[in-house]
Amino acid sequence: MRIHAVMICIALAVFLCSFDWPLENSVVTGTFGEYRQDHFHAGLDLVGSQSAVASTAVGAYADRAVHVRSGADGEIVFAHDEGVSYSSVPVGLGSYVTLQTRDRMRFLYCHLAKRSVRIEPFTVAARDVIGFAGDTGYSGGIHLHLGVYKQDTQAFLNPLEVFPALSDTRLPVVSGIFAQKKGEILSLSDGRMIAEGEYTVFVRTHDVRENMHAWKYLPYEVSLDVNGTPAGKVVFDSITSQAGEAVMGQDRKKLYELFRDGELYSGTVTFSPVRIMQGEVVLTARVKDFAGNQAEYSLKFSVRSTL
Amino acid sequence: MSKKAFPHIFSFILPLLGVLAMLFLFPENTLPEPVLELISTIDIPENEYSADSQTGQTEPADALVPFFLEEETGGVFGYLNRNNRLVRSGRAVFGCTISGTGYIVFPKVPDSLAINNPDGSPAATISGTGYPRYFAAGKRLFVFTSDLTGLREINSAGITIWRRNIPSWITSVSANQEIVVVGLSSGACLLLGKNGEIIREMAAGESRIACIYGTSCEQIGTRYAVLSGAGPHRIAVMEASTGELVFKTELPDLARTEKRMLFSSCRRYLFVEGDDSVFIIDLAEKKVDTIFLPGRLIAFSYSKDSGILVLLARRGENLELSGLRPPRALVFRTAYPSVSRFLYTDAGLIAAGRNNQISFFNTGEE
Repeated sequence: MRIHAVMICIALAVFLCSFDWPLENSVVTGTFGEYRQDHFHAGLDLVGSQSAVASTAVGAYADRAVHVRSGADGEIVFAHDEGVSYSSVPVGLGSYVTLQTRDRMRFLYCHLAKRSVRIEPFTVAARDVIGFAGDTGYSGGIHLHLGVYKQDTQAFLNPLEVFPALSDTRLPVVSGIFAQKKGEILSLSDGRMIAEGEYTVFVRTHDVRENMHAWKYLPYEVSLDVNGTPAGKVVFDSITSQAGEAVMGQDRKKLYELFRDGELYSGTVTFSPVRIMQGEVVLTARVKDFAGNQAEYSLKFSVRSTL
Repeated sequence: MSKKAFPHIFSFILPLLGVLAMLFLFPENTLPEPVLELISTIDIPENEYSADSQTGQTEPADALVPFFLEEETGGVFGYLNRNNRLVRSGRAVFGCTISGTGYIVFPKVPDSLAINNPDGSPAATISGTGYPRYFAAGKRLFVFTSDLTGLREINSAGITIWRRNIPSWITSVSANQEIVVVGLSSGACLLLGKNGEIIREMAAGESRIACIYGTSCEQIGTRYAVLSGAGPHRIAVMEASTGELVFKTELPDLARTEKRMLFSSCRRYLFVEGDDSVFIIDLAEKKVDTIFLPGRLIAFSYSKDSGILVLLARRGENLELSGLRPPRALVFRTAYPSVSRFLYTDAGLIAAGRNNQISFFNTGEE
């Protein structure tokens, strides 16, 4: 039994280590699950450094470009070159390439520079240049959107789960807990008294990374306890669709119910309904980033009976 | 009869027999030969132009022909009247979707959208982010999420009628007034009804690489077609109401980009873009012909009145406009320099975009 577990762990480790980040010196600028006005960010945004190695695979400007390299051996499934290829739909992904590995895992490389997209040959080896980072489509600057899609489960996975670990030593931040009842938002603070009942509780949180000090990221895991009893947990590990709606994680939480409107990057994660009973109550929000750094935020207040 | 006279007779009779055989085997070649006649060319101003403001007359909306001289980024859009006169034009810096009922000019990051009437006056605003496109000859308007994982239909007042999230990302869409065919990167294909409800969901096919590379539906009719899979590609034509398979065949492995597909209005043919080629699928005879082009296909259109498939293809710096009577008879071909892409056919008239110009051709017969 133990041997089996070890073998599974080794196989998993080999599988996870078999992918390479597509940019040299990859820096994350956008995390998985962020609310992006008309969708939820089903991937990572990355910037990287220009490569000195010229590529003959994808045309001109090779020596001055930020090369996007295939994360694994695979095959091109679909490619689009903005303004050059035909598309029946307007493509906010810009110029993009989808690759499939032997394990039916798909990688999506978006916002590539126009005319840099590798369309043929179809077979791609790991580290092959498949395009240059660009600013095509719904993009506000040169970067790469990296998506990972599991064909068998039809789910987008958080690329951090698949690619080698990136250094991250800074703790996430919890900046507040709010409660809402009948449309009224209550800013909870130590010592405050509220009435018992069912509330929607918002945890305002963001993550930070060492090389992007001013940037606010969505953390990987947010949970809420009421007097030490779990009241909810969200893990930003996968996005799929259920009955025409985007849902997050294994618990399939509806994403439009998970965030407050207008919260773009910092993330105000919603837990509802949360039952808060009469007496002394301690609400604790725990937030983790993918590297395991954890922050905790607790509030103690009194709850009166509604009778 | 001398020995020498014998070959002379054969040299006359054999070609004659050959010609008779050709006429018997290829009767379509005996039809009057269409010719391409340039009627007129009009200049499209780069800046905003409105004939209404000059003449004080307003053209009725149903008499307008929308155009978009699409370039690599943005282009010049506007309306022509049925007399091939320019009614209105403007420039879209990034993108434009236009129909007889109105137009939307949108930026690279479209966080707010406004529908304009053909005369340029504001008609409605659309809340939320996304990229718009008219379908079904302008009778339906969809807004696609910027990551292509969802779409919503918008009415003329700018209100969202329905929306749907997709468990993959969209690679191809076509629609008529009754159905929407949504092709996905996962290889699945959704057939949606008028209100966005799923009528039928087709799972990914047997191809090694599952993906949808093209969709098309009849504008007047109930059939739709899906190009799916790679290694090899598969074409399937189905009845929307029953799901019955009308025809299916395999095509050679093509570049893995979206391919244009078009049903002829006579329902007999399905035209499918290949790599520097077009496949002409005869649904009645159940056979496939391949027409090779000088370069990449830019646009195609089928003229019901003349029965001609009009093709616009890139040939270096030039565009080549050609017409053929399916399955293979080439009836005209002309080339001209142009970066902008536009093709419109109606009742034997062809309008084709050139650099800030639109040329009108007539396909007469001689």
